[in-house]
Amino acid sequence: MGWVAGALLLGLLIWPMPADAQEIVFSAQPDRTQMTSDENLKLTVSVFGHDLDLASEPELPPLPDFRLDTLFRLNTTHYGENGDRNTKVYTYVLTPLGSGTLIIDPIGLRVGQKTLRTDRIVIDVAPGSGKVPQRRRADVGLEGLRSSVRETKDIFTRASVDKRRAYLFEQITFTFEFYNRYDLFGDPSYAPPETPGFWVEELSSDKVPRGKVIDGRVFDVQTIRTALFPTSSGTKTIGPTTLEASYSVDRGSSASVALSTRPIEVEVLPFPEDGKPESFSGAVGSYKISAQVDAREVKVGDPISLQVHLEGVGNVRTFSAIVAPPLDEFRTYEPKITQGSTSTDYVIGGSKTFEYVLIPKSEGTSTIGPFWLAYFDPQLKRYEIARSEPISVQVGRRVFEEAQSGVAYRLSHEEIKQVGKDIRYIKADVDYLEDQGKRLYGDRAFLALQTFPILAFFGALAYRRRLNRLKDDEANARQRRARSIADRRLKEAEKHLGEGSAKAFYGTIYRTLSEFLEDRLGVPLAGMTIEQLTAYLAGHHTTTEEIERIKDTLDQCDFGRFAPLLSEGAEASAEAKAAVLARAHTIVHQLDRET
Amino acid sequence: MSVGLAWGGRFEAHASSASATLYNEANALYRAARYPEAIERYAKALDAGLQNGYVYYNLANAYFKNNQVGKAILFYERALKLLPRDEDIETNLRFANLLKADKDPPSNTNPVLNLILGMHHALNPDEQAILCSALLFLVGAVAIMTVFSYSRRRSTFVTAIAILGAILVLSGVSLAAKIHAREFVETAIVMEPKVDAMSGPGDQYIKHFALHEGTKVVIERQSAGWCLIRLPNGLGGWLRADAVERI
Repeated sequence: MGWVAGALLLGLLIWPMPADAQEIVFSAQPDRTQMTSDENLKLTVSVFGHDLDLASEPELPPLPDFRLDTLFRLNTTHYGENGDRNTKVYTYVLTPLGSGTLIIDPIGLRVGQKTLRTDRIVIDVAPGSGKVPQRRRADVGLEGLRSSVRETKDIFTRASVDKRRAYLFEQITFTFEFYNRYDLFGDPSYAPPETPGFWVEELSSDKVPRGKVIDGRVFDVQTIRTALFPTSSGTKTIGPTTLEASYSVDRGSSASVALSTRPIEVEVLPFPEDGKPESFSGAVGSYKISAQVDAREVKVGDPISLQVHLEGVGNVRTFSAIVAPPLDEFRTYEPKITQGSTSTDYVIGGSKTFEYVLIPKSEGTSTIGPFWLAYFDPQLKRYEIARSEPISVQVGRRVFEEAQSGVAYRLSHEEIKQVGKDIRYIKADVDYLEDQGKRLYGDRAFLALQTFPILAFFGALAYRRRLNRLKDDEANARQRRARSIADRRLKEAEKHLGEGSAKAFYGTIYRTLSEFLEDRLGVPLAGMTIEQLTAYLAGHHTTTEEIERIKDTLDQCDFGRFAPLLSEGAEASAEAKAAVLARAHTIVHQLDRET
Repeated sequence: MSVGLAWGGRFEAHASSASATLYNEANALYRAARYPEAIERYAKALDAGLQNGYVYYNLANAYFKNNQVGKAILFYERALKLLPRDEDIETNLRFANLLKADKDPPSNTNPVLNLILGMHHALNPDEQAILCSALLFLVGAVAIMTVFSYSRRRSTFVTAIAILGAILVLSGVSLAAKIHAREFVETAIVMEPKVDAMSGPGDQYIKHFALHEGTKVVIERQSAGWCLIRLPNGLGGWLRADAVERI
């Protein structure tokens, strides 16, 4: 059992115990119980204790008799011998909505499983003078608490409009300002006002704080501006703008504040009926219109680009179109519309551009415009008309129309002018019509035909090579047959020798030797001199003796052929001829052996 | 070359007497200014699949006289494909294009380029094929002469081959371009007075721009009854397929 008790005790020591509601002091205290309806009531709700983490926010009961204007929160920690104690203070600034005995029901505070409640508070409110109660700012004071909150008028908001009376669609500039002298934790949380019945356009915002001096003290000021355009007449209410911010108060202390501006009422006037143009469509502000075309001289059927430009100050976006004049002389299409908006000195303005394409239908001088817009100028408090300048366009004839006009043309004496133009006439009648759609380039037979020149070329190339080969072979064949031809010819020469025909004999010997030299050695004897022959034979490794023998034999043959009478005599004996024949045999035999 | 021309003559279709009769009847109606009836007759002459530049031209004239500019331009374009050097067709097509609502793209001012393009378009593909064939035969003949010539004359023949070969290559490139244009590039004419080009193949898409009757477009592809078209300036969009007619 001992260990069980010890475990329980240990558990009690280490287990987080719920906060005891009895250790928390919770109270609500008004700064007064008797007041007038012109005054504000400050209700201070305090929560004091060791550990307030489990304590909820105070739960206000329904307050039908009051309006909550402002709520301040303040957290403070006190360090003491008996432990740290925390204090949370909630300051509510309330405005009575009427007079009489007004009740504030008990305020609740949940702490863990229990709920603490304050006592009921009774406030006697006497009728006031009817003025709107003054706002109570952060300088209401936090007496009774030890705090180091700096002094009064340190954090507040303002909301204003530039005018309380405006016409329909006339811009009302709403300005919200946040004045602060504390060090904020992060950016404040801003909720814009409800603006039923207004068209809203954002203007510039100075969310970066700017310094401003008020009564000798420097504030950080953040400003948010909004343009409001009322869309219906009557009394309109711009709802409260709320802002929550947290800031450092002192070491160990922080505060958060929820600020709310008062609603603002504005009166929206309807448009006056006197002088209202029929075409007025709700444009409010100050405007001007201009128009321009890309060409002033065109022909029938040529398109003209027309730009109509509207610009000015006011609610450009909320009204639709300008009034276009009749353009019956043109074929027209829907315009292309582009628009833009501007903001100058927090006044909304803008522009709209209408781009038309016009096609003239007939010749002559055509007038485009004016384009115009009826608008209400709230400064002048009357209706105005913005109007563009009319534009004249010269439309010339399309040339083919001349032929159809039926007008007689005068021809000059000096030149012939073409005065009309039409399409060329049709083609004449035919006996047959050929089909011109066939595709020759796709025909297989045609494509096959194109291979012919290529094949012919390669065929010619092959044939040429064969001829060259044959030519080489012939040379070889002649070279091989040279000996047998020479022998046959020498026999023939011998025959001539026996017949006693010297000229024929020498001629045959010469021919035999010359053809043998040509066939076997490639020596082209024709046209060669003896010196050339000698040099050629020497270059083909023929010995000097053989060269001399060949030379002598050829000389004797020449002598015998061209001086036959001398060769018929004693000098031309048979033995001499036989010697020539023998030498020819020797030459052929030796050359045949050597080559 | 004579073989090539003779082969071209092979493709001279046999006389279409029925079509010729219809054509002549249509001409008579045209002369009587009965243009709708003339249109019907010309169309019948083409019913059997006949493609003839003269019929297209006369039909285009009839459409023009009947104030159907889009149809007129369409058939002038078809005629020009078959008879690229016909002045009547060129003149009338130019004239008809003046009546379009949409402006033509700016014409090329470079004279050299214009000359090259003029030479390129001077012949239709079949004529160009015959020219290439003739050049090929000529080059082949000179090459064969080179093979059997003596060395002194060879350089002359080789120069001739080089020149003829260069002309053949250029002509071949031109022919290839024409074949590609005829077989793979679809052009069409807008038939409706005004039609919207959308960003996708359907009316639910965003309108890009509008085109008018007679404008020439290139069809890139087709999907679900819509055509993706491209203009010479690069602008593209989807048109209903029944709003255009192919050339």
